[in-house]
Amino acid sequence: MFNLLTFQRTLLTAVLFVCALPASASFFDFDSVPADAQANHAIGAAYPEYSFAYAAFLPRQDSFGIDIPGSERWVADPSITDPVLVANPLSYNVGGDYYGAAPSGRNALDANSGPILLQFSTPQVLESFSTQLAAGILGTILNSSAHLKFLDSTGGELLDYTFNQIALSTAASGLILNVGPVNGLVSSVLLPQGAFYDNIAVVPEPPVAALFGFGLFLIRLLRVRQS
Amino acid sequence: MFIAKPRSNCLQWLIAAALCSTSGAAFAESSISRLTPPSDPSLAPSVVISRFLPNQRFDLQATVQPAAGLTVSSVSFTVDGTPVAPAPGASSLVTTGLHSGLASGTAVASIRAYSNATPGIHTLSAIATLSDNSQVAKTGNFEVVGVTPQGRLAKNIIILLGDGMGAAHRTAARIVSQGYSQGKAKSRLAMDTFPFTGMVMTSSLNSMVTDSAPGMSNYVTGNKAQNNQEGVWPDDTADTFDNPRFEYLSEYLHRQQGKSLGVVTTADVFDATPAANAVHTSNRGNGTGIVDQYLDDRSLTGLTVLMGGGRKWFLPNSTNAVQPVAGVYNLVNGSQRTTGTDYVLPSDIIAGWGAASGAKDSNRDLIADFQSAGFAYASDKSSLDSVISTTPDKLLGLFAYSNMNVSMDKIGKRREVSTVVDDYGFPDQPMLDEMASAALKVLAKNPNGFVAMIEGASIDKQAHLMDTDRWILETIEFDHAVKVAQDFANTHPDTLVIVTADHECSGAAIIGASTVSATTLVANTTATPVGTGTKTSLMRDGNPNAATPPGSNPSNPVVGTYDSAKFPAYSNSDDGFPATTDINNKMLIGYGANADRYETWLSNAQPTQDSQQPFVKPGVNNPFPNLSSYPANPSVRNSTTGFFITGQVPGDQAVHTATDIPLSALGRGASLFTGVMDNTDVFFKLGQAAIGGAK
Repeated sequence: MFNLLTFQRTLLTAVLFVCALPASASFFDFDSVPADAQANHAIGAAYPEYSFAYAAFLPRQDSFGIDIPGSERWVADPSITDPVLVANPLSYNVGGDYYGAAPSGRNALDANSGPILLQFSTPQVLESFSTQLAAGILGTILNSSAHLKFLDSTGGELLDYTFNQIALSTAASGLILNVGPVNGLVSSVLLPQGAFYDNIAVVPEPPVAALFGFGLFLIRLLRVRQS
Repeated sequence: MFIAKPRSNCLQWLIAAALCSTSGAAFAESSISRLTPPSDPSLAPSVVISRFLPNQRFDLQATVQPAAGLTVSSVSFTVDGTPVAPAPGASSLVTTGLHSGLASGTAVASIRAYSNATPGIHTLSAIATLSDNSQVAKTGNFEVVGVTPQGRLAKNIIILLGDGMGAAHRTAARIVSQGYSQGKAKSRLAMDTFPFTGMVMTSSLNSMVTDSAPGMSNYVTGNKAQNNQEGVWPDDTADTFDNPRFEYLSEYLHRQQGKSLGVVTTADVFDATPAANAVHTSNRGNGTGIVDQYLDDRSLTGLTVLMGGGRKWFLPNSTNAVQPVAGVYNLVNGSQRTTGTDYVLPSDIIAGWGAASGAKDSNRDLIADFQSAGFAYASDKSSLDSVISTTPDKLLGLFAYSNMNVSMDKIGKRREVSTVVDDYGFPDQPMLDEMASAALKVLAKNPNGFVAMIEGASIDKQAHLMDTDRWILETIEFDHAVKVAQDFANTHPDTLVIVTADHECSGAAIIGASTVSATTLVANTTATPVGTGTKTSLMRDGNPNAATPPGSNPSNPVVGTYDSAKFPAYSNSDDGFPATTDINNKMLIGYGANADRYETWLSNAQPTQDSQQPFVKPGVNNPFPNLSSYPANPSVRNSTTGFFITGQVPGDQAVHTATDIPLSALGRGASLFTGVMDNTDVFFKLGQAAIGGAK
């Protein structure tokens, strides 16, 4: 015979146990590979659910393959076959000091030549997202700000985070951008072009809320049945 | 009784009128006669005269002409109602050294190196306060053109500019170098294979017919410059180096992205097209100051490669005089450096732009200074090959005293059939594609990328001279350089390549082909017309005796048009140039913007004199005396062998035209370059590709 009290106690125990679990963060420092290696090799087997690709702001196409004006969204650029690379930012200081050193180690993600998508194989709700920047010239030329975007599976924007130009363009290495939480299921994160990104931390929201909410639902259901 | 009052009233009015007419100036109001950047607010929003990329630097300037008896106390500028605060030392109020004809007390106020990051149309106002505390204002506008982040950037930009190269020049080069069969080109020029094509409107700030200074400057600044001026707007001061500036693509991308600059030309490097990528001046003829600024301001432009002719500006001139003086060459190193064409900048430009101050130094050894700054130096093709084998970090190449010899004469030397280059003193000059290859090798060392301008300069110069065979071969040489850039882009996919021209030159047209053999054309040059025949009837109409009725001796025109033109068939040598342009049934060119000339339809063994060469004038101690024996200009060239064609323009040379010219694009962002565009639009497309990326 079903015992409601036993069920409630078991459920509460389970919820408390899950709450006690730490959120499962993913962390990329790009130093496990040589400079100029592929970024996807740097995160490799440890984080198979993530990948980097160059981004493009492209329109959808109709059944005839014709661009639909106004339907542009950020996607992995299908015309680019080159892999995204990691690099030592100091190697770009030819004829002048344009970039500072990577905030940690030697390498950072090289977004110097174009925007990059960090793609998730499984969409996630993010508790936080953070990255450290090498000192450099990001943001001084693209209007007055640069935009970190969190995108859903259709390329729709869940969150558009605007950088502060002054903070980026004159920052010493190590400026940390910390964003979150992001409401909605994130499929990719757009990293603006012109910078080097290091120590990327992706922290999904643990299933606490979902589990807790489900548990409350069950309790309510059982009480309704009992009554 | 005589009543005098009416007459005295009339007299009073007459006196008053006389006073007014003689003292008219005393009652003229103060005004701001010039506000820079130039604008025409009535055209907004569809057309804005002055436009800029976000944070592109430019100067603000106003000329205030006060009413009589007043002086200008101060001038302020506002943008969108907000006062503009200049950087320390980057502003000025100048009342001396102005052009004549301005009101007494005129002042030119400047704020240097202003920039605005906000896209949109902005209102610019200048407010002048006069010594009587009155104020006068003027309002204009400018636009900041936003850049859309939309993809991977064009890291490298290669601009190939065929000076004066219109559609006819390209077509003629294709016919000669590629050939036709049954209506189809057997193959294409390299520039023909670029996937995107547009048309460019080429007018300058002050005329529908541009010259090469704004012709280049407009492409790489996004703003219209006036004829003879490069990278500046006109102003009211006499100094030709203090004009209000606007930032070049090279300066902007070097400052924003750390890109390098390469300038390669077959002209003298002081010439308008190369200079209008790096130097700001209202007088394109100021050679000494122009070449000095290449080096002195390399920190602004990122200059890494400079190649072409123009050694005469780099050599010390202890006499400070252009030789010969009174028929004597007192200096025989070829230098034409003078303090009269040198530069010194005012303090506000130095402070605002970070530009070098400059110095009037005709005796400067500029080659040595380049070498001290880390540039490897090449003086001819052999030394270029040697220098490039180790891929230096920076490269200076100076292959002639002034403009390099044209490809016909360089190839003639290599084929050992011509000594023209020996007469000029430079027997071992590289071809443009060899220079381009070396330049790209050096520039590619910069991981931030580069901007390269590669110019086929003498398409224009020979078209001015209506030397048909020479400009056709120049166009072919230019296309060889286009191929080098194309190959580079194919192996460096983040490269954008555009092929264009600053303007069309001479109104060249492919009118048909000779119906007679080359031997007959030669014979015609010495044949004597009979009866009432003329050289024209002989060499154009094919009728040695014009009195002969057509029925008894039908004319067989030398100039074959329509069906008679057929397809001239040239053959190429292994060096990539036609074995000869004097073939049977050769292609014939006419000129719609021509000056007087004598035409033989044959190639000219000698080029026409180049007035820029330092030893072209006869004189004692001239080390290259043969140059003065070359034909002086087209109106005397072939005067005893050709038939006379009346020009439509005065003077000795054909002129530029206002015709739109084709632009071809390849590589990353190339799809932006379609449709009919203004030459200033090209700058913003380049900016979009380099900063925002392209789809």
